[in-house]
Amino acid sequence: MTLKGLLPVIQPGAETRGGGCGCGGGGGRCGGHGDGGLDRVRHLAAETPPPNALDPADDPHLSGFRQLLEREVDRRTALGMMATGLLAGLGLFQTACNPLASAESRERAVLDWQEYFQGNFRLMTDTEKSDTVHRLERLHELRTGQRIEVSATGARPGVLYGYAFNISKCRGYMDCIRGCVKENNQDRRTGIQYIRIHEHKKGQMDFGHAEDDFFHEVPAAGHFYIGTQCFHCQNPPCVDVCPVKATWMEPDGIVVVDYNWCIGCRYCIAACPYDARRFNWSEPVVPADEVNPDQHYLGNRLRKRGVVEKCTFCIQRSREGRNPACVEACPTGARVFGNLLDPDSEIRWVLANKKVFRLKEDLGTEPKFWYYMD
Amino acid sequence: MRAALLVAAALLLAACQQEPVSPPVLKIIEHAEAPNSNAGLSSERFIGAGARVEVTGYPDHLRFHALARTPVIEKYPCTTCHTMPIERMRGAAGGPRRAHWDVTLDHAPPAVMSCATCHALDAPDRLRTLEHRPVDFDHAYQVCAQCHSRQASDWAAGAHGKRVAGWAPPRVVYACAQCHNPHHPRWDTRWPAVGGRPQ
Repeated sequence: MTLKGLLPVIQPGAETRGGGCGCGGGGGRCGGHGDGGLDRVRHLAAETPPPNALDPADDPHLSGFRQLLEREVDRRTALGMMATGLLAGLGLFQTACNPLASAESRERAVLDWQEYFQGNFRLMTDTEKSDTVHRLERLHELRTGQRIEVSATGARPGVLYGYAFNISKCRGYMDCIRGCVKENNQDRRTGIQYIRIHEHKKGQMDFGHAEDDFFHEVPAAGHFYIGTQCFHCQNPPCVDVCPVKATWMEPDGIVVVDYNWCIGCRYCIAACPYDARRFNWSEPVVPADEVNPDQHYLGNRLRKRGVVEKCTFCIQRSREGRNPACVEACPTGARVFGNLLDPDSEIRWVLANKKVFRLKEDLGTEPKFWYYMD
Repeated sequence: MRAALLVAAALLLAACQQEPVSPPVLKIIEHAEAPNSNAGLSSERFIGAGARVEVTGYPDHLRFHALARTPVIEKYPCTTCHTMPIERMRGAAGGPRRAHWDVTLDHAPPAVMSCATCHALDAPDRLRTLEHRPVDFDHAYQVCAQCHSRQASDWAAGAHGKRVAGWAPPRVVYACAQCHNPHHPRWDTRWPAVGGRPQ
């Protein structure tokens, strides 16, 4: 039998000659109509290709489509192919061609389809990047009616971002965490936070004995505070282990994640020695009135379930010359951010004039995040 | 022999695929050329329209601005009320205060400091140094820096205090009294902004 025989196609030849049974037998070879199901089965089983017929796949007079359509396949394969085709087609048909569906839902289906087949952000041309962010903006507008702006601004030449944290000044107020969560559209339900403030008892600095979920008046007597977040290592172990290259270091030193390319394997979480990465265990929830509409593709745009995210030094702000949200929110001035390649920058002054240290420096990860004291 | 060659080839392949190791950040920084234009970025549009003053008294390469103080002092200029010498305005000794009820000097022991250490009582619109040189309220950092010289030099270079809005030029910083209450400079304890077990 042929695929064409199973398709609900009216065959003009069969129509005129044998009454249009549609069984593919054509001519007088059908002869089983009205005889009940059993006869029909027998008829189908007994069906053989006409003698001396050329295999449609080899017939040079047939078009490629016809060759495919009239190819001899066994029944099981034919049914399987039909079912697959039907299922794939039905979804598209329903959404894209349904005259009852609104133009918006059709547009959304097309955009969803395009997003599904989108490539790795790093391999995209500028046009593709621009198409990608516009698609994200439009999809968000179609879903929520809210307008957002997603940027794809690249790294600026002559800029390498660095961060310094004054442990004499931090008082554990955690305004940085609140600022970060608001700025970066983190999931409110599972309470994802990029920054940890560790409360250490004075006289030691053992992170194993530090508290990072304290809630009492701060600073507590006899304690001091150290904040950690992604250190944007110059040799990032998280990047090395990613099996799909969904995370990488940008030329300006920011380690980023392509949330559309991440497969959620969480190797990077295991590889990071600083507990800097977070996983979206469920569909992230951000109340509509709390969504920050100024977004970056590699930064604070809304994530999906099953992807890893982390601090990006607020890439949507820092690439415009602005300080990250944690720096802006800190009331004690414990956080210094700037361009390491600018010898006149504040961060460079701190590195040159203060006694600084980095965490787990012996690992060779080369974090671009220093701690200093007054 | 063949197995050894295969292993060597496999190791070579694995080595080739590894991400290149970056030199230490400090090495990269050393080779950075000065001056750096910061990619021509400016943080001007984020700083806001608040008045600012150029900070003086520091080396030229540290030219920066501080937010002006006078526009945000509620009762400035002081001479609106202080129209006569302070002795004549003061209430009876031991009696209730006639103004500035919210001001308590909790900065240094009374042996070290009184109102007149910083305020010029004969010219209330200005502050004064220990050497009785008048200082504008917008340049109050000059008064603070007399005792807190280490904090002041850190502030001028960027290790103390806080920058307004952006890392890119121009450099505008908060002045001393925008974070510290000069009459009560110590910070209080308070509750953290967020609580609960984070993920």
